[in-house]
Amino acid sequence: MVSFVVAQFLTGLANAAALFLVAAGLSVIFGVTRVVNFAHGSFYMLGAYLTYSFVTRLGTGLAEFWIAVLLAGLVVGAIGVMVEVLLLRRLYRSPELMHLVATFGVVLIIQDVTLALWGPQDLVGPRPAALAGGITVLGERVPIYDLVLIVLGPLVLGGLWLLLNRSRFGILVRAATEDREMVSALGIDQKWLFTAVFFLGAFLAGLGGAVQLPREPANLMMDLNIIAEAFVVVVIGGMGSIGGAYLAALIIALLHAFGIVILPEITLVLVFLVMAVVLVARPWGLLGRPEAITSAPAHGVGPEARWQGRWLVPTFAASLAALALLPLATDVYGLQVTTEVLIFALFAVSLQFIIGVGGMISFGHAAYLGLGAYGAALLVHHLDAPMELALVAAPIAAGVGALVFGWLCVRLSGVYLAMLTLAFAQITWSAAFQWYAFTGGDNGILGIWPSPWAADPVIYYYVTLLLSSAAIAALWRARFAPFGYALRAARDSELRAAAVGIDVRHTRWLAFALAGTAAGLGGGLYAFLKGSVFPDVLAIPVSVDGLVMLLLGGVNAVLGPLIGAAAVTGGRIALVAETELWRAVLGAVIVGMVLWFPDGIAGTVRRGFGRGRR
Amino acid sequence: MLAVTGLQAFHGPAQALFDVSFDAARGEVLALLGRNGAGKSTLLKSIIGLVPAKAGEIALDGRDLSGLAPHRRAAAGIGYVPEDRRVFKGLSVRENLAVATRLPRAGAPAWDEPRVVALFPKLAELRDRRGGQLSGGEQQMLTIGRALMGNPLVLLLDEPSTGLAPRIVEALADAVRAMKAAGVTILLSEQNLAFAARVADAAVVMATGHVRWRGSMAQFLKEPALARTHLQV
Repeated sequence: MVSFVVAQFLTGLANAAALFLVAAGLSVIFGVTRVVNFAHGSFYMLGAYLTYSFVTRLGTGLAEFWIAVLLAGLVVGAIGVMVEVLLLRRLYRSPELMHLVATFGVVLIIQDVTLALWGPQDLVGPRPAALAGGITVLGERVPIYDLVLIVLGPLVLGGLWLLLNRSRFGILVRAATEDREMVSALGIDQKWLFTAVFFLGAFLAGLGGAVQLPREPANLMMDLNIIAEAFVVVVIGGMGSIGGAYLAALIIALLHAFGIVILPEITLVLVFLVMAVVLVARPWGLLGRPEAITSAPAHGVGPEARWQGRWLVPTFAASLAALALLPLATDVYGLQVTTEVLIFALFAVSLQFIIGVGGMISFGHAAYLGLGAYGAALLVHHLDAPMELALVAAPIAAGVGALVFGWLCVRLSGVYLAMLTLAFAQITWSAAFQWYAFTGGDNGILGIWPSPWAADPVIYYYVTLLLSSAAIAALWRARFAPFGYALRAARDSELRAAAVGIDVRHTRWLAFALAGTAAGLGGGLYAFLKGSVFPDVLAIPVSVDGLVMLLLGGVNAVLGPLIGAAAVTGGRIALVAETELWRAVLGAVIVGMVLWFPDGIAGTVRRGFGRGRR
Repeated sequence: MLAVTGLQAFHGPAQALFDVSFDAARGEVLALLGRNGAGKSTLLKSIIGLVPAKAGEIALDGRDLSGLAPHRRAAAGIGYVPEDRRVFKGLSVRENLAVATRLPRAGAPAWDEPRVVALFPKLAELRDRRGGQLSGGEQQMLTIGRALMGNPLVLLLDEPSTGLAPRIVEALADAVRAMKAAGVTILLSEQNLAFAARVADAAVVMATGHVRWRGSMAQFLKEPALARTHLQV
């Protein structure tokens, strides 16, 4: 028993190495540039693929292996510099939401480039002969390579500590982490410093992927898997703290190592519980500093929508009338596409309620769409419930989920909140993906069809139209009710809102739950539209789709989410049909939009009108 | 040494500086006097470049700095000591000084850690203390020392005496005189007239973003009406 525990412990320590490297890079970059780099997982993935290519060319000797690892790190560092110079340098003054979305565009592009260069199959990296064996510790066999990684973690930690504390570069990095503006007023060129920091961060991520290759084949899911874990590590360890990143990586890796033996599903619950405990006790992370969170600036979600009273109701009514007549003008396929657009319109409006109205950046809104979809599907699958009951249960399931996750989320703000919401969405995704007995895993749940009376696509279209527009109207009503004013006051100034007697945390929590409930209704409708549910509905790309819808429509424009939902849903359907490289195209569109049309379609049109009038 | 001509600056839509012009001669201490909100801090910030100027020229030793990024202005020879000090709290005193280190420049006094410590002996014992653990007076010494490490031609001091004990203000006056003796040109924004009167050679009086009066410090002190109109609350 003891030997087994020791062996699992060592495995956990070895797992922590790569995770620590990625999280440390993420942390260093954020500390100085205030950019949360979503593409950091992609750098990690590239590190693994590049090492595979280098090792297969150089050979599997010990020296060659380490040369390949180092080379991969350097190449990834150079790619990081490219991303910084071409993209992020133009965005440092933009709200953090833009950073996240733009770097997610990079994620999509790198995914397709990787697929094109290395192909879809997993690539098993050869382990250098000298490190291939194992040694016996207390009767359990432990791979030598694991021991190498166990040593590597503290080694890199020490190296980073020396770099940050004993070199001029490190002093500048730490100074810039505290006060960028003062550093520039003292004669330091920030551009150079930012680029150097980005190189360092990307290098660390590439190195992480490189050293992971002998343990895990290079595959196309590495990027999003590691980034979600790295976010968890950074939130637990404290943003900007390298030591915290190491500590948190150890905790997470050990939880996985031991959890997997007991019950894989338990691991997720354990990770969640650890996060909960840490965030309640120390919202700024184990080794982070409190001021890092409290000094987080306002999120700059754009000007408050003015286009409300006079035009909103007539426009909404006219759109409803047009949509009600649509079945006369289109075929079944067009109707099904429109049904999907309506569902995502509800999804986008509910996301806007959190981000635009509430000022809380959610990067995991898919969780609530998915909880609704799974709530409905599980009820039908396991209990043979009818559609009507399932559609009542869907928003309740998502609402309860949002209450639980939201309770923790509203304790944070800014990018910490964004990372936490993403982590929660990944937890629900993993649960749906892994729990075969209950959710069917990646086989999904099939045969979720509407009740006979609603089986006709036209009828189901009307059901969706009715429920979606009712929920959207309810969210709008809340936005312009005293509750919405309190929420917006808290968004614009937390302190002043609190000073006039608004319970900010409570208000936000309710808003979070309300939006989750609405998204859950959308999820239920989605399940019956598709007739099935797969874990994909909970995955990161769906959350990002929601954000792109908001950005396209204008984060705060009242009708923005509707325009965005139509553009994204329709565009995606067309794109997937047209090209294999739809991810890269979508990524390029996202990047271009953030760079050139940060106000979205509605905002750009409004600005155009404004100019015309003057 | 420093010539500001026709400077205009804005805080968002509100204009904060209106056509501000003045000169500081080489090696002089020029006091910038005025009440809260007169535009003194904004003026210093637009000289170092933290507040962009809409119009006007800032010439350092004949070289126009307007349009340059803050780090280029610092490199050209402007040293900035902000009102709220902005020491790097997590960095030691020594590291704070190291951030601004720059190679000596022709025509300006060269500073290094020993010379800064000679100016502010208190810093010697605090070398390994973190910036966040210093008292207000110690932080003030540190920020001035930090700015000196860049070997500035012109030092911008934004209300250095604010919130300090009289004994510390005394030491600060000595330091200002010592820096002047070393050849640093100093632009000193102050509300504390007694302090300014002891160290300054000339004065510029500001109110609501305009320059109201320019002249020597001695002249300013001879006209009590000036202080009554522009400084007293």
